[in-house]
Amino acid sequence: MTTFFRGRWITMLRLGLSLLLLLTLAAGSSLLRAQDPASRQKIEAALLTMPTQCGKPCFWDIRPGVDTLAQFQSFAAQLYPGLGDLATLVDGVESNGVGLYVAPIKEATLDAVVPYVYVRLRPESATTAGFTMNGITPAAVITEFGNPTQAYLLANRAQINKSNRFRLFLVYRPQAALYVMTGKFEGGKACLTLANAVTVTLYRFKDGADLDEALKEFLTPAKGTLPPSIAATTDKNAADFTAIAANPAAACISLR
Amino acid sequence: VQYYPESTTRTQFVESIIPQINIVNTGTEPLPLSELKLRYYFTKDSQTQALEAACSWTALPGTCANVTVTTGTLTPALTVADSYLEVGFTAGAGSLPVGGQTLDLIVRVNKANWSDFDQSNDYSFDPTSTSDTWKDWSKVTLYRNGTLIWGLQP
Repeated sequence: MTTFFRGRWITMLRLGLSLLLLLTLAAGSSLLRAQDPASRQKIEAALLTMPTQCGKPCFWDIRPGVDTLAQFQSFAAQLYPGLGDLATLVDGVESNGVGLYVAPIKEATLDAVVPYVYVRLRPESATTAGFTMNGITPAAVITEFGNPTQAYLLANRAQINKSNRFRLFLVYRPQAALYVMTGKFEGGKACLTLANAVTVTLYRFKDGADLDEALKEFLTPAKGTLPPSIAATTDKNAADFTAIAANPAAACISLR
Repeated sequence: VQYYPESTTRTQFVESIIPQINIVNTGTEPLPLSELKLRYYFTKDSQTQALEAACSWTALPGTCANVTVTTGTLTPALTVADSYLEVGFTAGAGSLPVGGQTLDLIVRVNKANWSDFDQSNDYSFDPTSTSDTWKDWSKVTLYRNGTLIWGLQP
């Protein structure tokens, strides 16, 4: 009998330890997914508001082209407490539709300089997670930065009923920033609202020269010639965007 | 197999890879689509991220409900490809008659964290494509019941 009860006790202990191990693993793996209100507020304050008080080259407390991956890691860890090793950092950290990323760096080490950084928002997921996104909406960015230096809309009129996608690039050379919206056409038009956005992304560079260099990668497949500007492909031009921002749901862009 | 990159993804950096595919039956008998698998090869540019793939659009019967899209890993990894997008069909997609074509099969893949892909090192990507013009493309492979019938594997 004694042996029988001891055996049962050991079995129960093993089950308990296994359960504890499973719970610990589950908690660890969900660190980047769970978003407590304090953490969400930190991310909103750091990434989803326009950094008006932080002059170039300081963006979100990171200085692209100056700061190292170690400094970026220190900043990112404040916002994403479950941030893992260097590989995770270089791949980009994302939670509930809000992500913070660095430019691709080959054979990255902690003392490598970060060429550029970007924040990408997926409104659908971020809304579900309860994020406030007012600061990074197309209208907010345009209102803050003004009319872009140049704008490009990648889409194909003949494909609207199939792929139904557009990518809008707003180039802000004085701010060394690039704002990209991947959106869905609505009624054949590109409307700059979060409701129509699959993603919105704000890239920040060290200066205008770095931005110019990167544009060739963002707008062409192999550092080629930039595509026609938005004035050539749509009914809008770069000077129209502050007016669009004033009424983004109605002042939509039509393809030529 | 014919291909071009979707019009918004003809750039080096993209958040989603979106190939548009057309399978043409140049044989002498109808081709059941359920016997076919197609692979598009690319680099994940990531050590940690999982991939998410889906069908975006097709005119085939049943639309995307009869198209399966998965991702796989190449072993060993190559500098031009460590992953592939695999497209298959269920019986409901039907057959391609002799001379028939699927036209505009649009599929997509993104990383779980939605970071950018660098397409400049992707085996199947065509950096010379500038318009919606079908091009015979040997860097996308097609298999019938597991046997390669089109293209060159990386």
